[in-house]
Amino acid sequence: MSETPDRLQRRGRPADPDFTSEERLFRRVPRSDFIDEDGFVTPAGVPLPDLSTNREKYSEPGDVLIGHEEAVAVAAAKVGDIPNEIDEYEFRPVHHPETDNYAHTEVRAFLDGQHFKDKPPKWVRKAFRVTFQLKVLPRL
Amino acid sequence: MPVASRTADSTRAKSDAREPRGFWLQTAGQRHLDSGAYQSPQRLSPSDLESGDSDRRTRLARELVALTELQEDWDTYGAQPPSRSALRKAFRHLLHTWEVLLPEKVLPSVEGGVTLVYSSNRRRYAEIEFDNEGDVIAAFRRRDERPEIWSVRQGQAAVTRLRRLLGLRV
Repeated sequence: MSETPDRLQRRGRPADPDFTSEERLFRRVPRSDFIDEDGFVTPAGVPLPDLSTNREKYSEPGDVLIGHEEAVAVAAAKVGDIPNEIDEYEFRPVHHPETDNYAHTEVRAFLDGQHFKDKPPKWVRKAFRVTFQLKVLPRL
Repeated sequence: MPVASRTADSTRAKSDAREPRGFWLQTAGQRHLDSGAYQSPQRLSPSDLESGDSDRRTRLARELVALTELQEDWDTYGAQPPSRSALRKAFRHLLHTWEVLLPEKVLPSVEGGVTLVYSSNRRRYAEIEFDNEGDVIAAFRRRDERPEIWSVRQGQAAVTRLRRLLGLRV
């Protein structure tokens, strides 16, 4: 098990709600066949809601591999590339720090401005998954 | 960002609830597995999709069978493995439709289920997903256009529609 770097330790820091549209979100890729011929993660590898990622502002791309070295790659998408609205649902990142992963961020669904904790309808989730594109990063 | 469209096929799906456990391993998939003709996954072109290539069918059957080995948290983010029911449905769909349209690959879904991917590049993406809750959903997206999403009730109709969307002869 790799040691958690100091930058990921929460140490009492509060969540930071501010994202720029250029900030990247990182996610590890568990299987090589999840990477399409253009280097994007296939929708089968994109869950919704509460898509778990690490935000760039507080982490490095390879940090998502800590403790999960079996993953095959790291993928990224800019906050501005998140489909922000499908039907009546909105989608946006929420900084959700964990004790050993301050950078932890979830892309969540919102309905009428409130975090929608149930799953949106399947066709909405599917539309999000086939639209949101995580690009695989060059090997570090 | 575009809002997706949603439609539904008109024909009712046949239930596989009475299918004996392991059925899908005992039929064509097993025959393909026994042939020993497995090849590593490779990229396919639209013209490949039009040909009936037993090696590719063998590979797809192998990929599907391999999904039975997945454990909980196989994606390291807590994903459930495909259910037996989802695997059976996907395999039956493969058997009944691969003469019409052959998938590029078979994948587990991080949402729980099996995804048959028919085209996976930035220009065109097409899939049918068999989820663990028993639903079958098809999706097609052309680059920079809104995706088409529909509930699949009849596999042949779904792959015929995907062929049309992919610009293949129907």
